[in-house]
Amino acid sequence: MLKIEHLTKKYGDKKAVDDLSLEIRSGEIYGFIGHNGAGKTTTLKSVAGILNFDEGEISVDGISVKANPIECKKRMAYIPDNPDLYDFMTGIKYLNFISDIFGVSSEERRELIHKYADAFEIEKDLAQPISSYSHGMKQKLAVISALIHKPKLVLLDEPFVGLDPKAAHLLKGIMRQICDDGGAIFFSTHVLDVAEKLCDKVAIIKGGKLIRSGTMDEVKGDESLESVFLELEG
Amino acid sequence: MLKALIKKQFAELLSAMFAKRNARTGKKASPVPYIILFVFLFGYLGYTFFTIAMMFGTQLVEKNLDWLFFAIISTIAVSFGVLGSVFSTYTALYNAKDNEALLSMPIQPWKILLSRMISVYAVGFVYEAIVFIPGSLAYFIIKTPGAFTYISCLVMLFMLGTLVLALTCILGFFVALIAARLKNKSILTVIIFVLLFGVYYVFMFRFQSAMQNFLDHAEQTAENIINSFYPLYIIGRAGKGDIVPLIITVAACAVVTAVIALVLSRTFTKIVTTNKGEKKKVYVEKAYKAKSARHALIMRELKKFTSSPAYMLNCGLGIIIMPIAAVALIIYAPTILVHIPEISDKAQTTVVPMVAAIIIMFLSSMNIITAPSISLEGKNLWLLRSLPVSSAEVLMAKRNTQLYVVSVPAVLLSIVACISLKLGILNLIAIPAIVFFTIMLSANLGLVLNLKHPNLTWTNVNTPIKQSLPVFVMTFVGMLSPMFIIGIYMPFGLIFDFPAWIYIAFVAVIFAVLCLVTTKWINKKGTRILEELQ
Repeated sequence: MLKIEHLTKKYGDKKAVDDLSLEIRSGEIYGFIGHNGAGKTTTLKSVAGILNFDEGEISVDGISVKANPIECKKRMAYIPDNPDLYDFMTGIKYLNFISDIFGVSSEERRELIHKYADAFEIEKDLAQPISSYSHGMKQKLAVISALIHKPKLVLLDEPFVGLDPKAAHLLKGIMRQICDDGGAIFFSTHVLDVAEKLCDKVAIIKGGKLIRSGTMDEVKGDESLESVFLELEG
Repeated sequence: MLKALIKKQFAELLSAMFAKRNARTGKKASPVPYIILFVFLFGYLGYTFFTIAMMFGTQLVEKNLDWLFFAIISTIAVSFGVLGSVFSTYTALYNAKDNEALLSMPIQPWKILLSRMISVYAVGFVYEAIVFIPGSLAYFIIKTPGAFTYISCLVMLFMLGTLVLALTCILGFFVALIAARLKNKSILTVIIFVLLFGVYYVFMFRFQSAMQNFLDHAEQTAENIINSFYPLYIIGRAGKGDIVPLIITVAACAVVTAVIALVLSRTFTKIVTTNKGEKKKVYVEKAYKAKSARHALIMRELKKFTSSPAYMLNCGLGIIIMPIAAVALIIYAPTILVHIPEISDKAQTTVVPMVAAIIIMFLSSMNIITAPSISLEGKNLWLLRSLPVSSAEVLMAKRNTQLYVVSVPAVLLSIVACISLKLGILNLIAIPAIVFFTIMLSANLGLVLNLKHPNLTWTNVNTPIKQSLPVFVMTFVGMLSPMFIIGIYMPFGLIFDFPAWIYIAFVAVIFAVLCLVTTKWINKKGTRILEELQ
């Protein structure tokens, strides 16, 4: 579903991501961990087509992000760590805007908006301007907008920050459901317990370089993910 | 701590104008274009007020009514200062994006307020000084005053600034109170501003005759002021250099400013954190209507434009004026038609269509929606970049929003002008054509400039809308280019009776070619620039 080969992204002379390669298959939840500034967000943004990268290749569902970004973006959804959405829109207008961009039919969007807004308990607030939303509500809206076009690959940057426990539990269930339906999830997190319980595979990044990746058992062995991570990060 | 806050305020104010960095390369942009524009703008306004002051100052000084001269100059200066800074005061004092961040820090709220008040004072002072300095200079030319008058003028220059500050703070306070409880703030703000704008134009329209009437009855006016508005008499005498009125004025300004600062400091936190008055609207599901991605992008631009009063007022005022102008033209066209033969026999085919086209072009060029549109993406830029739409589609949606929103009233006004002024079929084709291409070119140039000079790191939405190079340049291009176009035509039109429609059509063709060139640039180089923005 997602193939990253020798990805390098520089900011000036500094390499934020350095020769990173990994592959995520359909049905996999892939966790991405590393300390602040390790290159997680840069990697996710490069995959999402937000950042132009310097070297390497990224392909989604066999399509090159560099050569055909539009087709790739149609197949995926990206949720940033701090969802700055359009404050000048109401929640429902924002969801309709995203639906229009992704070409979601009226009937389908009606069904999905109702389903997810009800599940995340923000349906009544959809008529409110986004500027009045709390961080958690914005996060929920961003999640709904990401799911509304049924993406094959979902990229999430710190998705659980700001979510209440019920919404976080719901999101974990949705992530698993997407993978069970043949999709894939690539998400960054600092919550190692969540990563350990939720992920099929995990990658650890340090100073822009991938220092370990594989199935959860391959990465952590008999130890906890936290102890392995702390040991590797040194 | 207060020093640090003041430093931050001024850094924000100055960085908005002079310390720009290229969003792509990170290199510091040159402040020279801004300095030139500021010098030109302030020079032009200062000269205008100097001319007005010379006009009525001479007669008032002759009548030994020097104090009345200073009373008038002070009134105009304070009014100009308040009008110039009132709309940014609300945003700067109560609606700044870093209010909550600062309130969370161990800083007393009154210090936050004071630092903001000092920056508001600076902005108001600049507007006030544009009137008061040329006015004082005019007085020094008309009459050589004593040394103390120079000192009193200098003191008054700074004291009137505090009066501007006090008045804008009061207005800002009420705007903040209302805004905390209102839903459709943008529409209300636009309505209030348009009404103020209308009053201003009625005043300017009648200024000449009102001023003459005032000068004819200056003694009577002076007596009325002394009898019924004594503080203005004191202010006038203070400006003239009378020591006791100067002390009273200074003391009064200081007291008023202190009282207002005290009141605002006690309510500052409450106002900036109030949101409870707004009625919560519960969502009720309605029928969903799917639209194309292009349509959705244009609707997004339109929603962004209509949700911000600052954006509408600074970059789209012509849209409101043009329908009003069309109605006025229908009403006054018979009167204008009577006077046209007085200009020349061929005026109907030369001067009149040219002037009509230039006025409509000028009104169209007042709308510069695209000029801050890239910068306004700010922190939301990630969203556009993550969506499955090309950068060209995004940029064309911005361009087309201006084109559609401005073209409708502009072309309608063109048609009304051609029909009501009986300009003939050729002008009926040429004028709407040049107006259309003017709007398209203006939209393209605004976009090009903003792509070249983006600012995505603003904390106050007024920064990209009011204090950015693209907006400054487009404002001046919109004002000067119609003058340039009519300046070339007029000698030929008046001397050789050269039909205006040929010249208008010729310029329209040039504009159409420029539109093609700039559109091509936007779709090729512009898209690359947008993709590189971070």
